[in-house]
Amino acid sequence: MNPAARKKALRYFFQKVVDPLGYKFTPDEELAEFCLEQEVILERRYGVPFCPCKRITANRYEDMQIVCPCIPFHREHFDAMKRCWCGLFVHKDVVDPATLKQVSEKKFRKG
Amino acid sequence: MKTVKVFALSTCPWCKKTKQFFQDRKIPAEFFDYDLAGAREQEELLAEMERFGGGNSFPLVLIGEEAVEGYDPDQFCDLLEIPK
Amino acid sequence: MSGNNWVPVIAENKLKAESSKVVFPRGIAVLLIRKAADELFAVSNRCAHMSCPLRDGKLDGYVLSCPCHDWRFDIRTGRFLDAPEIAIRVYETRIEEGNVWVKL
Repeated sequence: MNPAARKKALRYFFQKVVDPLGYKFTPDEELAEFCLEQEVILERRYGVPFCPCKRITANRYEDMQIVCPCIPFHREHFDAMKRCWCGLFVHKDVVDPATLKQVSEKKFRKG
Repeated sequence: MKTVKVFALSTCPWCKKTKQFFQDRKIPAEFFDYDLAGAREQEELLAEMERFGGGNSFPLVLIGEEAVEGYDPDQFCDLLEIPK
Repeated sequence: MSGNNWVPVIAENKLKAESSKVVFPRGIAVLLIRKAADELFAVSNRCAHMSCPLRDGKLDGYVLSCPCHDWRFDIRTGRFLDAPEIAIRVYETRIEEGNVWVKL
C-alpha cells in the first residue's frame, strides 16, 4: 500500500479509537501529517505503527503499550497534558495545541 | 556555557524542534539519534539516558547535570540561564 | 425462533467445547467461542483498534487478546480492558433445533 493511502487508513482506524476517549487529531495539520508519516515508516519496518517519540524495546509487553493510539495505556499522564506524548492527539476542547506542554511522566507522577 | 546533549529519534517531531531550538540560538550541543545508531552505540546511549532517569521517551536533553524529558523551551532557557 | 434478527450460523455439533469458529451471518464476521457445552459467546471478529481478526487471538479465562497488538477484551461484555469507553460488539447466542443462532 502506498504511504498516502496507508496514512489515510491509519486516520480512519485511529479516529474510531480516540473519539470515545475524548481526543481528536491535533489541529496542527503539519504535525499530524508528520507523525502519521513516521508511523507508516515504522509500520513498514516493524509491522506495527509505534509512537514516533518512544523507544522500541523489543520487550513485547512494553512495546504494545506504545502502539498508536497509545492513549489507553497512558491515560492519566496524557489527560493531564491534554495531549498524547507525540502530540498527534489532543483533547477535543483544545483549539491551539501550541499552548500545550510536554511534561515528562516522572514529573507528572510527582505532581 | 553548560554542555548540552540531545538524545533524539529521527522519527520524533519534538526532537526536531529541540534540535532547532539549540541551533537557532547557536548553542553548542551534541545530537544523538538513538534509532539510527548501531546496536553497541544504542546500548551506550540508553545507559546514559537511564542514568538521568530517562530512556523511554524522546527527546531527552541533558543540560549540564540536569535532564529534561520532552520539548520544554522555558526549562531549557532556565537551565542555560538565558532569556526566554 | 422469534424475531427475524436471529440467524442460524452453524450446526451445534460442529462447534465443540473449548473451540472457536468464525461465521459470517449476513456478511458480518462473528467469532463464536464455546468454552463449555453450555457456555457460548459471540463477538465481532474485528479488533476495535485496527480491525485485526481476533480469531487467532489468545483466550485466557474470558479475556481475549488480539494477536496484532495484544488489545484485551472481555468476551462476556466486549469491554476493552484498558479503556471502558471502547468495546467490540457482542452478540446474543442460542442453541436451538441443533443449530447455534446469533442475534444480529
